Amino acid sequence: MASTSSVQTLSQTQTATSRMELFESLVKTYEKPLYQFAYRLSGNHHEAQDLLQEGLYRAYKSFARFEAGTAFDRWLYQIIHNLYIDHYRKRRKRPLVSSIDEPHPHLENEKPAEIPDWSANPENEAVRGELGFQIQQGLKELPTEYRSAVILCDIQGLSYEEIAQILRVSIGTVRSRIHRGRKILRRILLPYLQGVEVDSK
Amino acid sequence: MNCNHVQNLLSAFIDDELSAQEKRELRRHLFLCSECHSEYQSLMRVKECLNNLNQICFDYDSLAGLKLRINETEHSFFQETSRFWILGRLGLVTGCVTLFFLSTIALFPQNSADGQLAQSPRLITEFSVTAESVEQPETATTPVESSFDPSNRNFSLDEPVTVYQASSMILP
Repeated sequence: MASTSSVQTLSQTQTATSRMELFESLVKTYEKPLYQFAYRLSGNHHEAQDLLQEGLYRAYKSFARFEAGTAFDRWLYQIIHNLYIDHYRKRRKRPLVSSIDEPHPHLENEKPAEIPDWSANPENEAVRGELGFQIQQGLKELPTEYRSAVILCDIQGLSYEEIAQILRVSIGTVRSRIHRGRKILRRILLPYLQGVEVDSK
Repeated sequence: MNCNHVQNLLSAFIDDELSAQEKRELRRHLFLCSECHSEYQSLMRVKECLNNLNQICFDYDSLAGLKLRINETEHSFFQETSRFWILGRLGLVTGCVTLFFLSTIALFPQNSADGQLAQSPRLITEFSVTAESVEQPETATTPVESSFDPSNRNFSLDEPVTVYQASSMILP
């Protein structure tokens, strides 16, 4: 781990042009997992695009202060998570208004992956698509803190230590959030979990 | 390790986040306790489901959107005119302060104490009654007009007079 004295921000080491190039290359590397995180957190594509866009913009604005050598994706996970929390708080203060004519936004935007994969059995794919829809519904029912922890751990594949840094909580808190989140998900997904194979350790 | 403790550690065990000692004890417990074992299996299923989720279709050009947003912000009306905004505000504040001083000078001229309005017999009579009644409440009922000389320019002026003068400027 780099000591505090040796940590250099990008503003000290690089010019504005090369900094922008570095930013673009980092975004290209990490945009898919970041979008995946935003989508799983918010539950629909519109909000995920807005979250990613706003997150990238904020990261760009403060990229000069970004410490070279630290994890760009973790930093952006943190920004997106904080943005979502702020957005969620604002939305909770407003009354929910929805049209009875238009389809529900999360149903309208919920589409399975459209990349053809001939190697897999189509029936299994359909089951996976249905299960994916149910999992997304289950994730939506989790409290935001549990949802972030579960997504970062089980979908993004980060360690507890990394999640603790992103969410700015202790490892013990991460552990309990993941455990409680999984238990809630298990209750919601109980009818769909029967056919899932488990590798015993 | 009892069942309650084991069940609290199951998620961390699944994620391989326990110490070697804890893992060993937990494995031994799971081998013996069927209830904890089924709990472990159900949590494993949840993790497997989340792991095997379909990758979502990503056809969004985030960099194009970002560049558009940066351009919009850099060439926005506020950015271009921010300098003029500051100058405009400064000018407005200066104007307000100047107007305040000018209106004060116009409304309250410096030599108003010697002005003709102050010598109006009606106003001075009113003042003398007020001044006398405030200073000597016990003799407020006695008439004081006889002891007052309107031609006396050395008469001490205090605040009630100023108020009467200001109001008398408004009155015809």
